[in-house]
Amino acid sequence: MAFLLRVLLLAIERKSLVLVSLKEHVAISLFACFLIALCGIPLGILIARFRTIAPWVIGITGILYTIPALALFGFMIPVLGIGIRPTLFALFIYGLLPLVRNTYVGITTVDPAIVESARGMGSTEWQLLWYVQIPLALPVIVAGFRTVTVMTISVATIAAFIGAGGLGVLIFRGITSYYTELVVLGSFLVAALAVGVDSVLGLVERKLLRRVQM
Amino acid sequence: MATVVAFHEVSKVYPGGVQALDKVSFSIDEGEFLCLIGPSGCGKTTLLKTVNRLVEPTSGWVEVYGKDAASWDPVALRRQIGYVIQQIGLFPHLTVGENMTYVLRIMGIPRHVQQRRARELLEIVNLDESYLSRFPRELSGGERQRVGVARALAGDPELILMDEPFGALDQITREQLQEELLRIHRKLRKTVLFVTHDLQEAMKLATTLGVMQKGRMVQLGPPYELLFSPQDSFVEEFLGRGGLFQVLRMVRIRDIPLLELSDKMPRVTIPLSASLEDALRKMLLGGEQRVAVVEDGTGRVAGVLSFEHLCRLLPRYCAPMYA
Repeated sequence: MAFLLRVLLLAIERKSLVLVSLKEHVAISLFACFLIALCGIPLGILIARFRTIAPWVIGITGILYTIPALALFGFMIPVLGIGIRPTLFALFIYGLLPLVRNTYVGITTVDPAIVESARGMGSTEWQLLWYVQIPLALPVIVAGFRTVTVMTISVATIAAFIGAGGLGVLIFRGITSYYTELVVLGSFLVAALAVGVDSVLGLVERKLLRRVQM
Repeated sequence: MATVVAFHEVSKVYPGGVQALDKVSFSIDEGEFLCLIGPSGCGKTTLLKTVNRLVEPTSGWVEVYGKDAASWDPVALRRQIGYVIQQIGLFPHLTVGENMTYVLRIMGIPRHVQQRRARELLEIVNLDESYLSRFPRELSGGERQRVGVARALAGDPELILMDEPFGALDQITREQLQEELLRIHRKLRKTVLFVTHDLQEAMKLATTLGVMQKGRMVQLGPPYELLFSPQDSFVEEFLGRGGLFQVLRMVRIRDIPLLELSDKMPRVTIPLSASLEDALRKMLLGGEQRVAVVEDGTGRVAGVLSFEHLCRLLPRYCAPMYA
């Protein structure tokens, strides 16, 4: 109890640092998620439309997904330097797979009877995608995006390591100065941010799911 | 009468060597209600799908609206053919109105035209306007298939393909929808190709009945013709199971010529609106050879029906009324 109180006092005392870090963290994560959605969803749609390339795209994004975050940040420094650019790049590489895969799976697992009737009525392949498959795949796509946001928010913590700021700054400072309260404060904020965003998206997902259920 | 669809020696072998169709040739005329019936796996659904090019024949060709189906753009072709499937395949994210006019939407027809058409369609399938803004999940199975039928009529196609549309419905709903479909067919005079494995359904709906077995068309003709002169033992056995009784149930006494009341008035009477089955039941249960037929409201004697007469007439008049 006394420890938690100390954490709270610390948060009030270092208010400006906490707020700046939080803002940076939100900005990095938001921008990364935006980039991931911008590329991941169209890429998922594209491979659902042209199925032959799907295993390749999912395979490659899968390989990228398995590179350890810390190592990836390391790789990026010689190419992109330090700071925001390598961070965004790394987060982008990570987030791509879950979204591409969910978009693809969502579209390709739409009830075959629905697809057949849409096709039988004379939809072109793009109309089928746009009017039927994508709307019906939305809950699965949003579920993928949820995974991406939670992951991005937590991985973005490591960005502090390469000078991009964010809540990771609190944690690293806490570790290097044996200041446990600071570590806990940073971790707590990262977790709260992730859980908050996740539950909001969860609501969206449930709402979409109700809309597409028979 | 113009030919709407013609199959010319159509064969289909699926990858893996299963022969689904084996040189099927016949044609469907304008306004015809052609039911394809046969055991499962006989190729009836495959045949239906060659018409809107969801299945491409391995050899032979299908002529649709006077043109080789293969030379049609499949999208343009499908937009001119109504299509109803057993699983219905309504779009759960669209309202009933939007579902019905989907084909107009993909053709780029203006929204207000779509909405007007949606109202007309609801009327055709006997649903009131409150359904327009409902979602498929809020409907019963029967209502869903009504919407499915309405959706196939949206673009006012000359030809409608129906693949066991009522197969998943309960008996009562199924019979209701069959009546509705008959009414719609009489009114709109569409050409219908209807696949079913339910003999009663086929007997009730078909103006022409095609029996299929192992990818071949075994016999094609008016239902009564198949019933009374089956080509082989397969057709006989297949239709024998209840086909006759269905016909007796369908035909009303008023649709057949009656004998004049010449001698003694029979003891048993039956109304004009009764079916041949009712008449036969009266004869059998009452031990009578003759029954008097009376007009429904007035009770005036319209004529006499005898067992002998019935036996002679049956082969000729057993076809559904509009055959």
